[in-house]
Amino acid sequence: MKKGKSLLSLFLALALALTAFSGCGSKSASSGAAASGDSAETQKVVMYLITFNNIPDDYSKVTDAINNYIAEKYPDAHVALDLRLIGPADYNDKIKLAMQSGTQMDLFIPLDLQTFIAQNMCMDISSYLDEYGKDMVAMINKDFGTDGFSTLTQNGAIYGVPINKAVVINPTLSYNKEMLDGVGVSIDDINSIWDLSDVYAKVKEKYPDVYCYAPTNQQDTYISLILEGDDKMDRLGDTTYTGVIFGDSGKVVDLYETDQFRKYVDLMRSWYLAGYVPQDMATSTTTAPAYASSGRLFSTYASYSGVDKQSDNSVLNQLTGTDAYGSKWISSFYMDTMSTSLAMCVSSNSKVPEAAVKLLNIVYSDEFVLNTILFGIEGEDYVKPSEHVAQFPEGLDANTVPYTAYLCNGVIGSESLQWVTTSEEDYQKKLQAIEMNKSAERSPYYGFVFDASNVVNEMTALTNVVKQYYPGLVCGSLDPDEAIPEFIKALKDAGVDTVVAEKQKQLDAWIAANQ
Amino acid sequence: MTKSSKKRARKKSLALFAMAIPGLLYLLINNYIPMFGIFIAFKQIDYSKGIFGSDWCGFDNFKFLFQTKDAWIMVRNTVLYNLTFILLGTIFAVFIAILMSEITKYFCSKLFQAGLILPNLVSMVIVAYLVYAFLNPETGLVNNAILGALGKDPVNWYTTPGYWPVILVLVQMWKTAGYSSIVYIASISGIDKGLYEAARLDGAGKLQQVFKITLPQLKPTIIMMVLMSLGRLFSSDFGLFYQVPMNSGALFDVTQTIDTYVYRGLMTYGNIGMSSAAGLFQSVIGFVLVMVANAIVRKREAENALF
Repeated sequence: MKKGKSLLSLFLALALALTAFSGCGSKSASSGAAASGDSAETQKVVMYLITFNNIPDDYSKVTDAINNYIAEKYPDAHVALDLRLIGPADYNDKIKLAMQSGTQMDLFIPLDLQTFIAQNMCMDISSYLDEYGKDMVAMINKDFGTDGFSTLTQNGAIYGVPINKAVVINPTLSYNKEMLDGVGVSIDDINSIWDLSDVYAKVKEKYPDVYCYAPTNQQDTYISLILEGDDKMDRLGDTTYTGVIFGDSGKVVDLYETDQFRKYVDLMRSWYLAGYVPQDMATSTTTAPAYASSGRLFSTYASYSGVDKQSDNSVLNQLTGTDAYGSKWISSFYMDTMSTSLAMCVSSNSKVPEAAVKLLNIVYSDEFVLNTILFGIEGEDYVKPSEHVAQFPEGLDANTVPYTAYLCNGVIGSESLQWVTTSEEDYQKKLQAIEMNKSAERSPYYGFVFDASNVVNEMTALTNVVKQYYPGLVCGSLDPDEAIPEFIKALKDAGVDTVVAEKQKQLDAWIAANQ
Repeated sequence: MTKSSKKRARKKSLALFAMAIPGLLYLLINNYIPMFGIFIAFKQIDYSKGIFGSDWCGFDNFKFLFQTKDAWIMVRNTVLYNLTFILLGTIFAVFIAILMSEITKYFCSKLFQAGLILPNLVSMVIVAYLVYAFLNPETGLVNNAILGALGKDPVNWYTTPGYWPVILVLVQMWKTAGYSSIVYIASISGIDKGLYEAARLDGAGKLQQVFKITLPQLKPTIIMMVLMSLGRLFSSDFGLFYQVPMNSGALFDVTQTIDTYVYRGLMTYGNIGMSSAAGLFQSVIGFVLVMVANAIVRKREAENALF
């Protein structure tokens, strides 16, 4: 008995020691770079790519295919891709960890560019672009316009390559067609958010169990979209809206002190009091698609993509599996200083920056490389019914196919080279959407980049104040007469004036330098 | 001491020490090695220079904690909630332990014990939705079944700060009281049964037994548990203060604690220097509190002090 006990305790001790260590090991990632190493000088470039698809255990076959192709097609480049696919939940942690530990990571997508630049995580690649990035720059000029890099440029330094995709997404109203017919209103009479209250009153009367509006974003009614589209608001580099600018006024203001903000808050308050919206909107995590699925939603608006000003279809239909919703633009897209901040950057401690830019150049301009990253290997991972369409092979889907990263289409390369999964018609629509980039109305301050490093304490405090009041105000559950003065006072206490002054100073300097 | 008995004693302590090794290793790896990171709180992090190469910035990283009047609110909330939890938590736990120790049927006592511990195993996220089922302004139980039946107007709970100190304390008690009573149940079962027998012979009733025997015997345990929890006076259960009020802005005045403030403020900016500063601030205050409380206890009753 005694012996048994001591054995047991030994076993327990061992088990404890083992568990203490088990967290420390790490699975070494498979490296696919070695395959193409016929030339001694081939440099391996590690790309951390965020993926929204399943991550296969071994995708060296795909990277091998890419590297063999690169070695053949671009014999002078001497670069090889080492792809690391990472899910969205870990992505931010993984790139920061790689930075801190010195693990090789040459290319990555910063999720918040300003913070990354402030902590010097992105390398200035301006000196490499002219020599090694010609094709990429040409692609961006063609698809986006010549100002593609300006939002990533700070004091002459270029910190990344913008994701070259269609950025113009108009604020779109999605509405239940049957209910709109039911109350006898034509969609032609709805042209802005201000036309909605009357319609909502009728809908509420006829369909009392239905919410006239529910948000697409938790705890937010997206009035910022309308403020940008209708009132030409530029967020000037941060989403707390504590230093914004309207039109070409040249004057930075705290949004929450303006009449424009008050106007929309009053509208939302009236919707809340009339019961058009879910009463727990300011805290609920339930969003429009959930209400739509249960047939309890009349309308919502969001930046749902679509090239048609008016359509019998809506993104909401895809999300909920119905065809009940139609859509119409209710405001316009305004390209402000934050519309194009998604970029692929070279990490500041990369040992091979030239090779990284060379590789990016290929990824942005070579149809085969880009689509192999997205879709894998032809015949195994996809089949091509037509020139610009890639579909899963018979009997397979996104979860069963050996490799696919097709949902990465928004975070890598040039969208105009990417195949689509549906039809040639959709591919043409996509090209049209990309075409809108150049004609989209740009803020006069497009290209200004706010450097928050001098006011980081104030910004942190302001973030908290905004989180306290903003959801309640824009969802209508707080009384604006009481809450707005309190809100403004709290912002002043947290140093909003300092931030506005700092932004104004930087903006004035930027205007002086760019005119 | 003779040589052989010394040897025997060493052999015995060696075995004990060997048993302690996994625990010590765990402490070392989990609690002591990461402590080297303290210096990050005084660094202006620059990734191209690395953590060690970054510039020193003195106390700059601590400033944001005291930037606004929020500093006062969050310190007040953290401390007052924790004091309430310690006070009520101890009372409830001891009360439950005394009741439990009176249950003599084995099956019943195990059943109740399991029932009391179960809430502690439920994740705060799930607790948050349990609370939400009660308090949802449109479909919640309280507004529909209780206030409706009493003929009162429904309350929009998630925008009315006044109720939350009570709600949060209730939730915390429901979740933790059963679990923390285990320690007390164990110490009560360790009390010499002879004492109770003697008391009964002298004609003491149940209540008298509780106040004259159980509580005085429990005192060292209670003091130790309170001292240990004082060290966490500046920390808070993130789930309780973030998840349970559904991150509702209107409630920040009564739900903001240091942890939630730091989380909300730094989620956006991801500045590890500032996060470390907040952590260090909490730990230093916690350390000071334990030392002070222990010193007070030692002065009055040396044998009950932790060290």
